[in-house]
Amino acid sequence: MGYFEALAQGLGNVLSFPNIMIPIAGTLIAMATSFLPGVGITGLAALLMLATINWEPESVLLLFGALTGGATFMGSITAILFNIPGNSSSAATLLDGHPLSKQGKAKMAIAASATASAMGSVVGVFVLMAAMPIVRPFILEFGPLERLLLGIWGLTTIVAVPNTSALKVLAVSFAGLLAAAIGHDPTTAMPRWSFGSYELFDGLDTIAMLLGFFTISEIIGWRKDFRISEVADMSAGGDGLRSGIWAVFRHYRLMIRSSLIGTVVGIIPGVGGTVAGFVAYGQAIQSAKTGRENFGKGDIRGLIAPESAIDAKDGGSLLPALAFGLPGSEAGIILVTVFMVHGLVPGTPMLTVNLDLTFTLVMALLLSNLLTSLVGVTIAPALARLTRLRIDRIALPVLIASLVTVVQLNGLLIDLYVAVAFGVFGYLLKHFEWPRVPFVIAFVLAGFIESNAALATQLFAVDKLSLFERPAAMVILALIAASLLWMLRQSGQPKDPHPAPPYAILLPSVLAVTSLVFSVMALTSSNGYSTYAIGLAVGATVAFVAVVIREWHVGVDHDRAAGDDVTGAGIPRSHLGPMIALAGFAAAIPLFGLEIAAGVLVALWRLGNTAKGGPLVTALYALLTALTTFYYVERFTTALLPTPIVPMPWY
Amino acid sequence: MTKSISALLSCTFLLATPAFADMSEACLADLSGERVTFVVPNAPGGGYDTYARALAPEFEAATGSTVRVVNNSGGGGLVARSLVLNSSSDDVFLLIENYLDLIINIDTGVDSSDGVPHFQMERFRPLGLVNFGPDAWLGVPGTDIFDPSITTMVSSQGGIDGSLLAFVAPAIALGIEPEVIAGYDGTSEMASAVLRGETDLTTMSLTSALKKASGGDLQILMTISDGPVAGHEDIPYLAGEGSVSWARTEGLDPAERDRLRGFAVMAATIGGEVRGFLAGAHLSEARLGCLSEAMDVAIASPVFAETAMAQGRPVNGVSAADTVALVERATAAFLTYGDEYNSLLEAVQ
Repeated sequence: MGYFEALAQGLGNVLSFPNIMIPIAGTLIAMATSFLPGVGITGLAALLMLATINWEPESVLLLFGALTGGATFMGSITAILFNIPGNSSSAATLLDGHPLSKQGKAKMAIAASATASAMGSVVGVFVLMAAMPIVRPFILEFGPLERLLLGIWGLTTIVAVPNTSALKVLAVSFAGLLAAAIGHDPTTAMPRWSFGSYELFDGLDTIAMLLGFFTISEIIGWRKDFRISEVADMSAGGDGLRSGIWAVFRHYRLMIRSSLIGTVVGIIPGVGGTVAGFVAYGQAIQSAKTGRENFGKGDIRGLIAPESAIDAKDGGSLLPALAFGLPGSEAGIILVTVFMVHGLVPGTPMLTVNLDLTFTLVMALLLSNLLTSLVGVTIAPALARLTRLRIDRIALPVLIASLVTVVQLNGLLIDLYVAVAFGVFGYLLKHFEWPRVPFVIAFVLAGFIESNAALATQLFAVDKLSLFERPAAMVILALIAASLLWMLRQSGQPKDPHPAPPYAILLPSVLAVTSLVFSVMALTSSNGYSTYAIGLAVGATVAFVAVVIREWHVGVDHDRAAGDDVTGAGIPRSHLGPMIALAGFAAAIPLFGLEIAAGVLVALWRLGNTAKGGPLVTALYALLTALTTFYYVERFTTALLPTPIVPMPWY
Repeated sequence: MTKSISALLSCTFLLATPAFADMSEACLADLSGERVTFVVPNAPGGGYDTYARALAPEFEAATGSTVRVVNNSGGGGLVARSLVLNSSSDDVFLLIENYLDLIINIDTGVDSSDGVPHFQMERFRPLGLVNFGPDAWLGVPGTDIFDPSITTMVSSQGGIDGSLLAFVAPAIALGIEPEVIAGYDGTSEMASAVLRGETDLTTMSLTSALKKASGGDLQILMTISDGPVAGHEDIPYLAGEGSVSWARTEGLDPAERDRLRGFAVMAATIGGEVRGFLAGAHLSEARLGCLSEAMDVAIASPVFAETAMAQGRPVNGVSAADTVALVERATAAFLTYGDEYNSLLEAVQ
């Protein structure tokens, strides 16, 4: 079967009736599922694989192509509206997406996100179709060295964060790399900074970290009558569907560039959407001719770039599974199994004799992405209204739901503590005007960089790798060099010109001591910490000590010292209530269990915020929360919850 | 000579088939309406997950219980084991696991020196096997692993100690100088490394290797078994008459020949994968007995076998009683080679 004949056949398979109903249903199911806590799209796909075992291959590929495309976009909606990343891929989306919501431009942000996703998907699919005949040798060009360099390229986007002290950027980047190193060594599998707890063996969960770092830290800064959207009139300030859609076409070069980045990243097995999002975000800043300082504060370009890249990646990520039967992700594993169930052989046959089926899958993916975006634009006005709700009406339910369901991620209570700890840490960084994005980028990319660096080092040592024989590596190296050159050009600009308030030295001091403890542990442990791990800990210690010295050197601005409305540590007294409630919640879990602790959180929260209705209503809310949590834990979670110190009849 | 697990299981399966029977009235009453959770210590979509999801409806039909399948890979699978060992009698958690991983722990016990607890087999009750099979070596077609001029590169997920039975012991038996490139992220990445030419071969279960080799870009070079594998008689095997290692060691000094062949037999005997279900041994004997009965019925279901097989996962079920006996024999086999295993472990560390 010829190329265009197969393409026409694939398109016909998708568009004919009743076939077209399958990707539509698959898309809607995937969109709905990605909103449900604890039900991942991969779990759903595994269930559907069994349910469709007797289907025709065309129908199955229509369904699974739609499932692959349907889930990606919905993670961005929660990121834009509530600062909650629906999946780790959407971490880059919230950097500018949520600030747009706070400016009252949620509708515009969702419309731009949906349009960028659709366009990214189209670019990704077209590149996929064009590359199909030549893709096999291309995929084999990407080994550990290329992936390592790609990760480093992503890391160089850290320096693209404008208006921040380079020293602080360096220090928090080290902190991010160090936090991600907790768990175990990827090569030797020896525990590393796990404090004897096997719950930490797999490291700190990215979703739990992001939830704390962005969502909980935001909620701590809650104030009464504060809305997510600070603009009362939602139709004002250019917040409209058309302006969101138009913004993507206005920045079409950025969209195409980001989509190509996403596609290439997708083709490389095992890289994933998170890297695609951050690399695209970084190049958006670096390529911006004007207004770089607006990134992170609600710049539409900071939303378009990651959204285009994340959806374009879906097309590229099909290639390794199709060309070699080598899945690069959990979704890919499902897809390869689907191939097997229905007698399809991944590899050359999928690109030759079964090319029509391959195009069926690709077209279903494209249709699904377009449909998801259409639904996204359609429901954008309704979703945008959520930002007009008073935050005191949604903050507590969001907080409780987040903290209780985060336990379901890995069945570990430690994820809840990780979320709370990073909530406080993220709040402190924000409050003391430290850059937060470098920490997140470093944390997300650290494991990827370390594991590929370890592999590349081993391959270099046995003469199996030579930089000069790897053209793809040379290209990425050139991109890194360009990124660093850009950084050097920027370094002349003054940053942090103001003397710090007296309490500003507290945070870097605490982080310096913490890093020092990590260094001592790494240097004295019998587990044999790698040079990389020791370097991170020592590097973080040196960087934070340097920040402390610099703060002393710059001097203290006593006018910015604590006043009546702030504590001695510079934290507004109005922010202490949520932090005390969270501390009480964390302390109540080992004492009374998760269910009662959830009730305690509600009670402390309401009491700390002079809630209406008095103690009786507060007690009623606390009881309802405890009962709901009990029901959720009993019916839906399979977590390893420790028996509380105070005996509870249901434990 | 100790028979390999594969061979033992093959015999066991033939004997065991009649042991599958309907459930007793008492056990039906015990399990009906109960909630049972199959805990998969891996992400959805893999082999363990496929078996668990295909078996769940059959287990429900046999017992009248409600079964849910959860994936919990936390702590490198340790959380899943802990969930099962801490489950209550009215909320039963069953684990699907490679038994050999647990059997190997008998010698190390609860070892906190590396900060990670090990779970020994005696803390669990075997409920029956769904599949067993040897490991295999995978390379590109035409790979000459016996070229003395090269150091054979092997892509591996964990450190060299994790490849002890799948690669190091067979390599010693065959006189191959090994160099393990460790840290690849899963079997697909290990196979990709072979395709890219970074490594000469990789090791994984025969089931996974067959899937990876289905496209023709990769080829199964050898199974780590002590005889030809049924249905794949054309694939060379490691130990026993007519094997690769027997041919390679022919003509050597008898002492050296026996030493090398010993490593081959050890790898074929205690390596491989033995996938089955386990309950926590802390549950009451009555409940464990009923769970064994229920698992016998569910595993024997032809629908389960068809569903799993359709997803490329062969079923060769073994009843609970025979699995208990098998575990005892496998434990004895491991202890037979315990000294060699530990000396090898010390050598590579």
